[in-house]
Amino acid sequence: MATKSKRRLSNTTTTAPNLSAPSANCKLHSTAIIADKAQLTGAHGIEIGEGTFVHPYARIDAEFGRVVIGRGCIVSEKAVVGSRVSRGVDGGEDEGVVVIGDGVGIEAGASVAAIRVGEHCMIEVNARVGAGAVLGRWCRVGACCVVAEGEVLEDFTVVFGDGRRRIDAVAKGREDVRDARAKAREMEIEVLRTLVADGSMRWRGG
Amino acid sequence: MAIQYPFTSYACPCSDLTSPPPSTVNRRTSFHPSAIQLDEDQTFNPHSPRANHALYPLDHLLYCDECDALRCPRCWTEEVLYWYCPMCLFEVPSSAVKGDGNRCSRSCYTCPSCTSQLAVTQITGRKEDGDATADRDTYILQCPYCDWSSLEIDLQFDRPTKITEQISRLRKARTTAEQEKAAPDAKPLLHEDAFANLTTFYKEQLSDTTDPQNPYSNSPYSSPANLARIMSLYGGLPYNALKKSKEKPQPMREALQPSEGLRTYTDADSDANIIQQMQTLGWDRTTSAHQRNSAPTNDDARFTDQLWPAAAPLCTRRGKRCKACRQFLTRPEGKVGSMKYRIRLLAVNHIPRLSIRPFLPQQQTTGAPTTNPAFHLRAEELPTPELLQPYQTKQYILTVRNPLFESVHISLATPATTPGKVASRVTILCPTFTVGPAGELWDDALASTSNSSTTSGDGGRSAAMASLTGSMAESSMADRQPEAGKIWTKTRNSTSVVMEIVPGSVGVGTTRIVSGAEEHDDTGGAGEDEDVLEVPVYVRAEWEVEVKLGESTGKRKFDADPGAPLRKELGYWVVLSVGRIAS
Repeated sequence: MATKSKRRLSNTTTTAPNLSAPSANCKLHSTAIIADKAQLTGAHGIEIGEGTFVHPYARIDAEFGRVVIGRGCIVSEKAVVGSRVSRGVDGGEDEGVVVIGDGVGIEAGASVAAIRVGEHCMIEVNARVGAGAVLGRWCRVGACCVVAEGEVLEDFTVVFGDGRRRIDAVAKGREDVRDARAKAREMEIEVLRTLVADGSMRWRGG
Repeated sequence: MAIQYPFTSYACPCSDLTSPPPSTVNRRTSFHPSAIQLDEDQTFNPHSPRANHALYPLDHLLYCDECDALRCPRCWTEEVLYWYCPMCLFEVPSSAVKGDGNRCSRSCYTCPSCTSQLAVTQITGRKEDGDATADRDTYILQCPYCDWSSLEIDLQFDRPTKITEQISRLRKARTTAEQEKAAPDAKPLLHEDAFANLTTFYKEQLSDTTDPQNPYSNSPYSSPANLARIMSLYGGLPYNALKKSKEKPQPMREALQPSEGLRTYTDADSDANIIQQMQTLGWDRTTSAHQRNSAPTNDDARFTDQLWPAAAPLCTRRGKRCKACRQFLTRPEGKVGSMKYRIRLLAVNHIPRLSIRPFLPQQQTTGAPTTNPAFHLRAEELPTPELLQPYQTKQYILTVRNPLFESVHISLATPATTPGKVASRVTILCPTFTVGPAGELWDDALASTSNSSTTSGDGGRSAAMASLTGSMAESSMADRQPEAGKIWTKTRNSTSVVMEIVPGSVGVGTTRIVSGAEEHDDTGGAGEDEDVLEVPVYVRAEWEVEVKLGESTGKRKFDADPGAPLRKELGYWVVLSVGRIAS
């Protein structure tokens, strides 16, 4: 990681103005668990929030822009978070930046390159979220479904089947259902904590 | 995926292209009159418009060992062995299927939105709801795929079991409440009620028309079954037929009132109202035809928020019977979830299999990757199919593999020129030969290691690989030339011979490289797939079966002395699709 940040200094300092100092490149919360075999690459810096869990072989790719993952998220095996496209919504200012909200689940093999994923979204197995997409809160992208580049999904959207969309009226209308789902995510993280050892010392600069 | 040449297909004898034509064929206009000749003299024409219905890959065919013939999907009948629910894998007796319909009556439901399986999920009761119902758990049906839940139609259950019962109770309560709300004159008749009314009405009608009154109520002939038995004892018409012939059938009337099940148009939901709703909700929230047909409860649903979960439709497990002798050709085990078969007569295990591959001299194959398409994982890795050049002789290796445990004498017959618009010349260098018997797998392994020095330079793995991939790895083969009358290679249960093909030219339909070939009505250029070089080959297999004492049964008892070998013979048409001819 150290060699990579040196490379970043040489060629990308101008394109990452939101980074104040190179030492603040990786901000990993002390309670976040990042498995030893997870891959955190890229020079733009990665921010991982409280209690977030990154599985082995998950890849977080900050090659083209900063990746921010919120609190209580799960990134599963072979999932890829990060945009490979250096293109932003307003032409350069936030190019390649990926911001994931709190309590988001990213399942195995999914790839997420969205600019913003709202809190408590669920991105299922092998789903693809294209670069520049914006997902609202409580969205769900079904298994193997595709959200196109630059697409904007409003809150509570469910993407399923052959690209069908619907609004999850139950989650929208009932707080207890939403709470139950958020709680399920928390319980999943609790279990995972007992199963996978934390290997995040590699990236904490220790 | 594109077809990979070459491949072989087998003609089922049920087609009148292969069997002696019945008299009705003469009247069919699609049948070419000149093609009607006597059975074995007639060449199977793979380019005939109906040939496609007779040709199958060998894996799709079954073999009836009573009739000693190939059986294709047209000559077997399917028979339902049992019904089962694909979700809970419970067998449903056929009486229940007749009574309750073809849906699972347990707790299996599919999502009305995306058709995946619904799961029963618990919802913990909340404190702030208040007093009595506070801590009680309720259950909902939840779709794990699209997040639809029964809360969307405000459906909650008290227990996680007997969902069907609870759903029907809730639905009845809700629909009656709706009906009471509606104006009494425009009361729409519910689907279930209409169906129930209609069935009772028709039952009444049937009983009225068929049973006027019994004139023999006191006699021992009072029961119709008794009477029928006595009537059949003394011959003559059966009781029912006699009764029908005497009686004039009374016309049955149709339902006239809602109480009889008549359902007419009611403007309970006015069109303007619906159209307005559709405008506000949009296309995504209106139901599709598939959703409306998913269950009887969804017949009238116009919007997705009116959809009810659909009970899972049952599946069947079927056996296949030969149409000619009613014998089971395949019969799965009678256990739900078991993939085993009790009877399975596959054609692969009963008739010699032909395969064809280009004959490549040794120098071309060394070092080159395998060309067998079965060894390629991705479509883009497949070699582009090579077009055949007209009038250029190409040699092919024709391999006959024997699945039987007796050695088989094979005779191959092929027309000198292929039928169809493009006439190609075909020569099989060695048309009659013997193929050794098949054995257990380890027999082959033992044989190849014990006499590896004699058969091939390197036995075992590489030889097996060579025979699989089609590359001739044997060094002794390097400068061998194919000869007429000699077989090319021979393994324990397969024999290969060389075949020479001179493809004809596609563009000129009337030009033939062999004079005297019969002329068809050549209308214009080549039709669809006329440029595919297809060679019909008549395979005749003869072998002898040892009939042991006590094993000879049925008809075989008469045509064979016990102990003497029984001669068996089988003939069938095989079509070798070699490739496309360049035009």
